[in-house]
Amino acid sequence: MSFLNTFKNREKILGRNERNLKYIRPYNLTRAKKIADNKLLTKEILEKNGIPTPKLIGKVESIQDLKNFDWESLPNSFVIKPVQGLEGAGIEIFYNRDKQGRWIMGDGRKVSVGDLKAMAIDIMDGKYSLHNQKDSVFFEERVKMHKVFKYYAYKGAPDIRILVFNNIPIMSYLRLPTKESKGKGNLALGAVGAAIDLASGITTTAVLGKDTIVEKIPGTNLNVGGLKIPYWDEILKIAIKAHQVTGLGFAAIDFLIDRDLGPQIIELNARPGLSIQIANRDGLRWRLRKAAGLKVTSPLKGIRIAKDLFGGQLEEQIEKISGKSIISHIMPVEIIDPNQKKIPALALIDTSRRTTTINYKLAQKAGIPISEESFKETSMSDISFSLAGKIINADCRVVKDKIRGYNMLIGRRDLGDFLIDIRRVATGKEDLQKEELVSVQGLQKPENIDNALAEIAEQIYIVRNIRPTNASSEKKEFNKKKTYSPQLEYEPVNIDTDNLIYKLSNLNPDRNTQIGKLLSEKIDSLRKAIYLIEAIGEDDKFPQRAENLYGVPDVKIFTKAVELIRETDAIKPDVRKEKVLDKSEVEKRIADHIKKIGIEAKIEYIRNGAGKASIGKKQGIIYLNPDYKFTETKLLGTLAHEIDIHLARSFYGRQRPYKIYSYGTAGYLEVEEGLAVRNKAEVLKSQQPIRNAAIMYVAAYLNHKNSFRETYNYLLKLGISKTNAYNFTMRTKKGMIDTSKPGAFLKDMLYFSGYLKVKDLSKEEIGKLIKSGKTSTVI
Amino acid sequence: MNELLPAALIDEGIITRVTLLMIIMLPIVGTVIGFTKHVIGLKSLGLYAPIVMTYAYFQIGLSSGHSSWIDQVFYSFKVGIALTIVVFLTTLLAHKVTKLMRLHYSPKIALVISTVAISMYLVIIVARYLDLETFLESSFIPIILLSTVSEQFVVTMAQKNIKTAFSLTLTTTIISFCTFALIIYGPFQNLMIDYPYLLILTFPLNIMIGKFTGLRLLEYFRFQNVIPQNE
Repeated sequence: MSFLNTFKNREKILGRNERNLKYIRPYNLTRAKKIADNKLLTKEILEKNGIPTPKLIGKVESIQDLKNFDWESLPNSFVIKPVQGLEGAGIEIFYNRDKQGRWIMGDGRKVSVGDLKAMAIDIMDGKYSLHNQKDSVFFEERVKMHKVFKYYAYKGAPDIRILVFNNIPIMSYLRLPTKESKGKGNLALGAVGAAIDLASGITTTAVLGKDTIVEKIPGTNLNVGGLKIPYWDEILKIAIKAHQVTGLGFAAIDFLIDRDLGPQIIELNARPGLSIQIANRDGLRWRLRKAAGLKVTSPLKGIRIAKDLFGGQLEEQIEKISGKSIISHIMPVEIIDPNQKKIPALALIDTSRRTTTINYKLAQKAGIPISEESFKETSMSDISFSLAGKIINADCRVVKDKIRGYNMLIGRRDLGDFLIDIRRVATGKEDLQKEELVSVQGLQKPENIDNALAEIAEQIYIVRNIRPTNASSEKKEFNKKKTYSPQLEYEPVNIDTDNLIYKLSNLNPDRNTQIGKLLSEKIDSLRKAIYLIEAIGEDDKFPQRAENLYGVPDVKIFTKAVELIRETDAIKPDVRKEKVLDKSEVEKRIADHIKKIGIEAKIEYIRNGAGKASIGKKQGIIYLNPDYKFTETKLLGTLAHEIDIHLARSFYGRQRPYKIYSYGTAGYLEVEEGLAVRNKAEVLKSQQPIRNAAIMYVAAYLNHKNSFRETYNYLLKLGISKTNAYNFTMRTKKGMIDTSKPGAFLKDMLYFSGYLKVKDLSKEEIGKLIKSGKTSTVI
Repeated sequence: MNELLPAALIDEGIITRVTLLMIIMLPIVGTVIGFTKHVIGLKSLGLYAPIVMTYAYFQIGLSSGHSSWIDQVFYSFKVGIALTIVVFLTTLLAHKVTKLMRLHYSPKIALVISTVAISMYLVIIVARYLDLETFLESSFIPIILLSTVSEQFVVTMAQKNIKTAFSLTLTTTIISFCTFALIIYGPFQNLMIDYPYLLILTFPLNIMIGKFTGLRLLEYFRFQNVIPQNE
């Protein structure tokens, strides 16, 4: 029997008792209820906060007002409303005026000024108010129905209700007036309530009256489902805002959509009805419970949560029709081991690969007998796992490393039963909620944001991602053919950029504090950096994204750089013939130098780092390339550049309370590289580092707007050797595939532009700067 | 202590059994109404109307002259429901007429109640011709009680609509009638008079009902289509 069905699902459905006790009483305080119950007050507060609502034309609050009011001044079209009316009672709409000056109503009735006054008296007498309390009357502009509803609604305009709780839209529906309801949007009178999928703003299921499920608009052949509500995201945003400014914790916000003005709030309701559940064919209880635990700081976040947690009914319909499940590109899976035990994991969905691949450690956990010793580079194994409720038996490739940051990758051979929607959030609904709980709730303190940023910043190494894999073969081609432009290739990006962007978007520092501002700038610059990494090898996107991150090349600086190159000499040949220093000596010299300048750091060797040496800013490590052959000059250069400046700055930064001073405030790089260039020039007593910085600027500047060959030729004209010209051009052309196209890795501008910023600073100023740990805002 | 118990008070003639019953049953009637609203899900016209109607039926039942429970209930059903219908219809008529006159609230209600009073007088005349003497003897209390409910009717008619007012009146009548059938049941009356401290139970009971957040019985039907069944 069907009421047993309700009993089975009682955990999901909200009844009146629970609504009243758990939601209306605690969350809608008397003050807030007063606002919702008084439409004039509502209007006033909404208007004050810039929330769209139909314009007030006039009001009548006493018999005196009634006499003094200029009735003839009312426009041809307007609405009369009781200030405290219940359930839409007493509201009348006037569409036009006839020749005798009478206003015409929706049903063709015509009213004179005298009739209007009588209507006003009725309202003021409390005919429509609770317990017949005295009431007032107001007039507002009529909302002109949006054209998408033209064939859907009978006479009256349909209204959209958004139920909002804890800054999250919970459920919504569209109320369509019908012939039966006489053009009124009241379900009890026979209007149609059509559920709206929160994620897409498209109508799905519907109910006629209070409990008859319908698919078509009565009397028409029109499907109720599939109607896209215009301004959907805007509506959700406004609803949350209204809920915030009125203090109604649990509110139904009713909208009309004006043809010209867009969504308008017409009413707030502090005691939302429960029939919305029938229209939606889903319960409110579980949704409210889920929403209750979340801390939502901005409307946009509220909308995202709503769409992720409560949206997707449209997808379910698609799933039903196609028989396929819709999944995201990152999905939680459960691997089933031989004992039927389930091991949870997060998998990357990748249709560009054929075979499902799994990390051997995860495979071990799933009961595949692989030991670390016996494990070779790759092997194949049968593994069962469940994805979106379906069990898949896959012939898996087992590999040693993580696959693009994941322990598992699902290839297209196992994806036949799924549709992939990349707009969906990176995880399943349940996981998402957990993640939201952690991130939305916890990370809002500066320390937490700072920690999260440190973790993200550590994963972003543009320089490591932007190395072409075919540089040497392309160089040969370039030298062979006079017109050849190198075609560069890159390794696929090995970090999960979506996930990082997602994490960044969850961070919300208080921009009114100094640290909050720093963090916020850093979030922005990290986001730009991730976008740049994503654009590596995408020739149409890369130049713009490089500009976004590093700034627009400056012709004035370019001119200065060219002058400087012309005025200084190239490097003296004898320096190159210096003898190579012993590895242990290099290590000792570096250790001594670190001690000498009074900082602490470890030395480690790493092969895939950049160039000769780099700095691990978070832990205070100097990474040396074990293959690099240091000479005296090179070592001095490294000491001056990497240790005196980068390592020292991050060392002092680590002494500060926030990690951002060690991983670097936004825009820190320019000044820091400038300092490094200047210091190196001073230590080596040579103009060479400055000259090199200038060449890099020129190369980057030219490459940004020209082809590889053009830049190369220009550098040759400046008197730069062929090898150097090639190297500098190549270095600044990285990130592009087809180097005949304009585009440059603009990071290399920073050395010279940074140098110009710091070249006139005194030694004390530089020392201070390094010791402050923050080099971003220097001049 | 025993002399303070209700039974002793009745024996000593300090209070009549009927008066005492009306006091003792008040918490029970209240609890039943709370229960029907929050656990069963039957909406009534507030708390006042069902209490008053319950007592009106109670008085009618007592005045029937019958001693068996079945007869009392049957008599009360006949007379009580008839009176309720008369009050409701008269109120409806008076409401319709006064609505056209555009009056202030209180005089309007006064007019409605006056009309109801006249109709009650007519009822008494009719009763005389039908030889319903027992009814006439002690009928002033139920008539007054039922007449006052007409205000509640008017308010509902004005605020909602006739249909809602009718269905609310119907459920209120049913609830009141069931409650009446309970409190006029002799063994139950004796139980409450002999063990009046059972009334203390209504306190935790009402608190429990007051904190009840589960679905109401009727909501199990109302929401039967919320979650699609095939899952």
